Amino acid sequence: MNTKQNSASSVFDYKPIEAMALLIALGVLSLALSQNALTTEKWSTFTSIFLGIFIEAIPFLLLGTIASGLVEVFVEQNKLKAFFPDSPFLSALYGSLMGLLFPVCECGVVPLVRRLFRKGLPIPTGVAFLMAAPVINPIVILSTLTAFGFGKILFMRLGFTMLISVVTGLVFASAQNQWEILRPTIWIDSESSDLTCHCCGHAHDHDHDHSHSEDTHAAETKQDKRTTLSLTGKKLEQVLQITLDELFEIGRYLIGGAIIAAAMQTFIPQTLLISIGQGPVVSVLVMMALAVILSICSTVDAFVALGFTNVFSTGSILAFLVFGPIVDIKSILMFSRTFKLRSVIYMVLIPMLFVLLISISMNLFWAG
Amino acid sequence: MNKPSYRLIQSFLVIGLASYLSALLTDGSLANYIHHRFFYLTAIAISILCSLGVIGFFSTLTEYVQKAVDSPIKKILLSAVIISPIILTSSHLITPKTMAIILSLLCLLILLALNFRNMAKTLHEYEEKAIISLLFITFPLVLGSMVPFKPLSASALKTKGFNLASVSPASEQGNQHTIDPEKRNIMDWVKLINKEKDNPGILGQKADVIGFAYHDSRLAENHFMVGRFVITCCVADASAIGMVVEWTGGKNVVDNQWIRVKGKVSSTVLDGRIVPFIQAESVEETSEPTQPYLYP
Repeated sequence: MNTKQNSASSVFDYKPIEAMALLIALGVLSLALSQNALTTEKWSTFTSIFLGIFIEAIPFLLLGTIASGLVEVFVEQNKLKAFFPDSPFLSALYGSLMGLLFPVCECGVVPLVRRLFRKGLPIPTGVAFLMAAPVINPIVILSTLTAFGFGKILFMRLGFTMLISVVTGLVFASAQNQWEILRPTIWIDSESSDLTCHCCGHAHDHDHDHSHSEDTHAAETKQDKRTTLSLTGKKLEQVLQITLDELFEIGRYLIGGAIIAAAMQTFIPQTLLISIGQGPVVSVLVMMALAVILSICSTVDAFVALGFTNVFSTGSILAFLVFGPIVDIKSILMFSRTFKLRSVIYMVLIPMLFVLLISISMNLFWAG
Repeated sequence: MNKPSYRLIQSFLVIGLASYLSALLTDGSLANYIHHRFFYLTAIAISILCSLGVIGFFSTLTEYVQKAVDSPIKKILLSAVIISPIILTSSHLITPKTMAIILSLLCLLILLALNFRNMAKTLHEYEEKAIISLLFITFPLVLGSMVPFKPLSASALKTKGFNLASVSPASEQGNQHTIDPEKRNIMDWVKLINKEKDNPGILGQKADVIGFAYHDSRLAENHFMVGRFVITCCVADASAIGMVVEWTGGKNVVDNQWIRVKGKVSSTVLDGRIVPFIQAESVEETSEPTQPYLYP
């Protein structure tokens, strides 16, 4: 395997972020080791918050990786393209609505999109899906409805998220091919996972013989029910193996993100943020910063935003509700696993500018 | 590290995580981290982790013993052995901490047995990156099973601050009027006072609440807050709410001490927000409640 070349090319891609997470983890650990009453208090606060984020997110991550495993095993290579229109606008629009079919939140969507790209999903569709899925999905729509009722906040949250995701998707449509925006490792990784499938396949030859060609597949369907059954069993086994690998691969970004978020919550006073957070411009910035720091799952952030309704204007609450699901610490880390650094910067900057523009103009011109 | 031993460690970690989570789930201490209404998600996660662990072990085993798992009976027996740590911890026969130690020792032993001779040779076979991801997944497991749980306390207030705004209106369905005044908790009072600050029926009612003490710099000398953390989703969004207490011995109450306050309720204004106020008749130290957080 060309591991060496691979790691050399990725030095600037994601290592700094990963190193940062590790560094913070080490810093927090050393703080914990210094036996001082104050730091042990901080240490238990950090532990609680970290575990809270992790335990809340792990089911969603698992569901996302299982979906990704299912796509890998049951969706045929390059067949996806046929389902999407050629027009980049329409395909981005489709992408922004795909969350209604695949209800995943920001933790689950990354592994799924990665897998779908490999199966030939058009770039604008995938990017729009990635951006929109954490909000445009039945669970989040329901939780926002419960929290804010059937009204402008719900519609504006959905509308602006769709707008931002379609625009971002369109920006990425100018990419000539997938390699321009995706990290090359995802292709090498998927090859290597195929390879490892083969190498465990030779030890027990009944494994993984299904993915080779259409012919063997047709022949197998002719066999009696029992073999079909065991074939499905084998396929499911393969799904679980892929899920296991992906859990570890994406999981560390989730954990890295949770470490940073918990450290920020433990050491950066939110009281300070909120107390300076008045005024039409600053309040939007504060809410966006809070969204990034808190890193709450999009399925529940509406309830958290409710707590701020008395303190902040509608525009700033909206900034929290639209920006948070697209960009927070753990999603940035997980994006960086799939996309090149430049793409990640676009994926953070475009939504950021849009949300700033929308929310600040709402605060200034339309006191809601 | 070669593929099978990597798989083996993966499976051990996954089973370890599942047994840690199931221990939390069965004794209800999961509520220390997330709101009750998400418990079913953790149950789903545990079952997925279980099946991942079983598959991982199967594939490691077949790598070494070719016919290890070829019959359904063997499969069922093996699965039972593999998920036994989860059953043991979830029934609290073994603490997650002991289980984590046992599992890691077992993992180490098996790894040594499998790879003793070609350990060094195969170390480079697997990417360094993969080993880093193993370390990352170990982090929550170590933290969760080794660090004793301590609820967020007054020290977290220094960064989180008191949430003087009302608790989420989404939970307004509950009618606090129907609760006996002396059985209302701090959250009920905060909601009630925010909703009907002028209702004379509420003012003067007797309160009996439990919370931690906190001296807020904005308060007068004999005043302090009795507070609780409220969790809407997970600890990451915990915010503190509280009632202002007036008591002659207020100065001597220690920050972070759990206290039981009895007295007459009225309201006061702090930083421009309406906050419930107790004129304390008694303030006594108490032990930490089994459920330190409140859930709207």
